[in-house]
Amino acid sequence: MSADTGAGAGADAVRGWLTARVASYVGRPPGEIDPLVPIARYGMDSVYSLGLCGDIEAEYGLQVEPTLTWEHPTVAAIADHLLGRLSANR
Amino acid sequence: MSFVQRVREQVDRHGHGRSYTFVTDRRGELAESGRLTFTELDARARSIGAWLADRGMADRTALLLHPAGLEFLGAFLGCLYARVVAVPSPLPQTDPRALERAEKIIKDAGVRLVLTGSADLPVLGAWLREVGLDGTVECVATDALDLPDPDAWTEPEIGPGTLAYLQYTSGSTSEPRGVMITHANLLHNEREIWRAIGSPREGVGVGWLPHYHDMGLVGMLLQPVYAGGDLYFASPIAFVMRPALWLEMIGRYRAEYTVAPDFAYDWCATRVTDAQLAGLDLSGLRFALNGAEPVRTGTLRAMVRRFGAVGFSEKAWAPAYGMAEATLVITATPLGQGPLVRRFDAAALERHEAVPVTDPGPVPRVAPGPVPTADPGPVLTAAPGPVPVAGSAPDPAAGGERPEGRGVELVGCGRPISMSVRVVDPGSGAELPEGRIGELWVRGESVARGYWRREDATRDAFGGYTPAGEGPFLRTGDLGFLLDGELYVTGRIKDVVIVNGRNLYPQDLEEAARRVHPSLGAAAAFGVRAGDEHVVLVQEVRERGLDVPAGELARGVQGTLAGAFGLPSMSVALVERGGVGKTTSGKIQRSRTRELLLGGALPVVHAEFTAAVAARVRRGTGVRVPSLADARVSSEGA
Repeated sequence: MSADTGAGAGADAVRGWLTARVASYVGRPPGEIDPLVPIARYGMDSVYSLGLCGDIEAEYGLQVEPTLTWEHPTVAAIADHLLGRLSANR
Repeated sequence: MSFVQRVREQVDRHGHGRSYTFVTDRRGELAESGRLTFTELDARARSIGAWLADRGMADRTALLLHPAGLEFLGAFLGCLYARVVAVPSPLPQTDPRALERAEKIIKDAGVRLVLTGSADLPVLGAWLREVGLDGTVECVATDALDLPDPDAWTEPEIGPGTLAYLQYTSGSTSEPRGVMITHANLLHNEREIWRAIGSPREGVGVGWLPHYHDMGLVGMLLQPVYAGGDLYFASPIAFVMRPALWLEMIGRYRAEYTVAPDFAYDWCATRVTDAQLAGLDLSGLRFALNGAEPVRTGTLRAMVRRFGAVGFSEKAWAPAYGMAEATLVITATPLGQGPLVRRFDAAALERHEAVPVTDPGPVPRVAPGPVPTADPGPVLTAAPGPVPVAGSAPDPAAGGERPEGRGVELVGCGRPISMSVRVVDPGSGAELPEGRIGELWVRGESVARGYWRREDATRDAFGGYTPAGEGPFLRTGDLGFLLDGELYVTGRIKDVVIVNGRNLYPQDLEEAARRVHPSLGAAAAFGVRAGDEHVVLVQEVRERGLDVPAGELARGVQGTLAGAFGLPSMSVALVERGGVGKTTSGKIQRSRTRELLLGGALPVVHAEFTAAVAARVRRGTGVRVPSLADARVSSEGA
C-alpha cells in the first residue's frame, strides 16, 4: 500500500493523516491541531516524535531521519517535506 | 578482583564462542549491522586502553559520546582497561538539551578528553568551539584513530575499590550528579542481575536501552560479558520508531531475558500492529525485567492480553527496583515466579500501613522463601473486577491503581538478592516493622561510593544511620514497605515526575514557567497519575496590574513548557499569592500543594486542565494523600 498511497497522496491527504497521528499521540481531537503551530507545543515529545517517524516510514515507505520534527516542526512543514520527497520518488 | 579481570576470564573461556551483535531496522526488516566476539571485543578494548595509557589518561575522566552500537562498548571497556574513569553521556540525537548537559558534566567531572565516533566528530568539534571548550577539551573518534596493537596493552593495577565509571543521574539539568561506581560495585551488581535471571550458563539477552543510562549499561550491555552470554541489541531510536523490532529480535534470537522500563512495554502493547504480531514468537522469553519507573498493572495485563497468543507468558514478568546509586538492581522478581499483584486497604495506606484486602477470588500468590513449585494459577488474568482505566484513577501517593471499592492494587518489585533493604522512619531512621510504609534504605556491595565531588549530597544520600548506629545506608528517597519478603514501592519522596520514561525535575519546570511573564510568582510542579502520569503546574500570579487575561497567561505557560520539555497533557493552574505551599525557609512544598489542588482547596484564578486531571480535581475529596513526604520536606526546610 505504501508506494501507491504515498505517490498518490495530495497535500490535504498528507496533512490530514499527519494531524490525525499527532492528535492520537497527544490525546486531543484532530480539530485542535493547527497545522501551522509547532507540534511540540501540543506535547509531542521525543518519544512521540520518533513514533511519528516510524508511522511515516510504514505509511509512505519513506525513510526519515529521527530529527525530522526538529527540522520540520509543524504539520504543514512535515507535510511539505514528505510531499517533496514523494514527488521526487515518483 | 576487578571488572577487567572478570571480562578477561570470560574472554579466555569463550573466545569467539560468545558475541555482541548490533541490530538495525532496514525498512521494517531486522538486519545485523555488526558483531564482535568476546575475543574481538577484548582486542578492541586493549588497543583503546593502550592508546589511552600512552596519553597518560590513567585515573583521569573521559566523556563517552557515542551513538548506540559496538564502538561504545569497545571504548567503555578500553577506559576500564586503562584505569580511565569512563563517563557515558547521550548525543543530541533526540534531545536538544543533551549537549547542554554534556557541557555541565565536562565541567563537573573535569573532563579533558571526549571520545566519540567519526560520524559525530565534526558536530562535537564545532560544539566545543562554540562553548569555548576547544582549548581545554580534546575530542577524538575512537573508530578513526590509528590505534596501537592490542599487545601493546599492559594491565594496570586495578583493585575492587578502583573507580570504574561515573553514572550521571538523568537528573535535573541544572545540577547533574555523577554516581561513582567502583569495580567492586559493578561486579557485585552484575552478579545480582545474573542470579535474578536464574544464573544461566548460556544466557541470550536482547535489548535496545540507551547505554548512557544505568539500566542500559549495567542491565543490558555489560551483563553478557560479565556472565558469558550473547547479546543482540538495537538503538533506542530504532525501538521507539518501530517497537515490533524488539519483539522480533526476542523471537529470532530465542532471547531468554530482556530489560526495559514500563513505558516501553506499554509502547509495544499499544503500537505493534496485528500484521507485525502475526510473525512473533515470544515463547522463549523467561524473564522480562520491568523497572526504572513505577510498574503499572495495566501494562502487565496489556502485554499478556496482546502477546499471550504469541507466547508471552505472564510468568516472564519480572518487576524490579533499583537506581544508579546502587549501581542498578536492588530487588528483583525471581525467575519463574511471575509478578505479585496484591490489593491493599486504601485507608490503611493513607496511615502508612499496608493491610492486604482479602479478595473473594483466588488467593493472591505469596511466595515466602523459595519459589513455590505448585502453580497457584495466574495472578494477572484472574484479577476480578474491571481493568483499571483512566477514569478510576490510581492513587498517586500509593503509586498503585484503584478499581472502585476494591482497595489499592500494588505490584511487588521482587525481593533483595543479597543486599539489605530496610524500611525506616524518614525522620528518625528507626526501622519500621513489616507492613509499615517508610523510606527505603539499602546496604550492600552494590551501593556506590557517593557523588563525584559533592560531599554534602553524598552525606545526605549515602550516610543513613539507624538510631542504634547501624550504617551507612543509602537513603533512596523512595517510600515503600516489605511484606512476606516482597518489596512494594509506594511513592517518591523525591518529587521526580516520570513521563514516557523521562525524569522531569519539578525545579526545572518551575524555573522555566516563572520566566514566562513578570506577573508570575512561585510555582510547584508535580505529577498526577490518571492512567498515565500527567504534569501539573500550580503557579502564583499577581492579578493586580496584570496586562493579559489570566487564561492567555496560563496557555502561554502551557505552550512554553510543552515546547521546552516536550510535555503531553500539561495542566496549569494559576492561583492567588500564597497558593503554593512553602516551608518556613522558602522551600516549595509540592506534595502539599498537590494535595490541596486535588482537594479543591486552592484559590484558583484560572486553570487549564487536561480532561484526565480535571476529573481528578473534581473528585477531590477522599483522595487524601499520605503526608509522609511533606513531613520530610518540612523537616528539611525547618
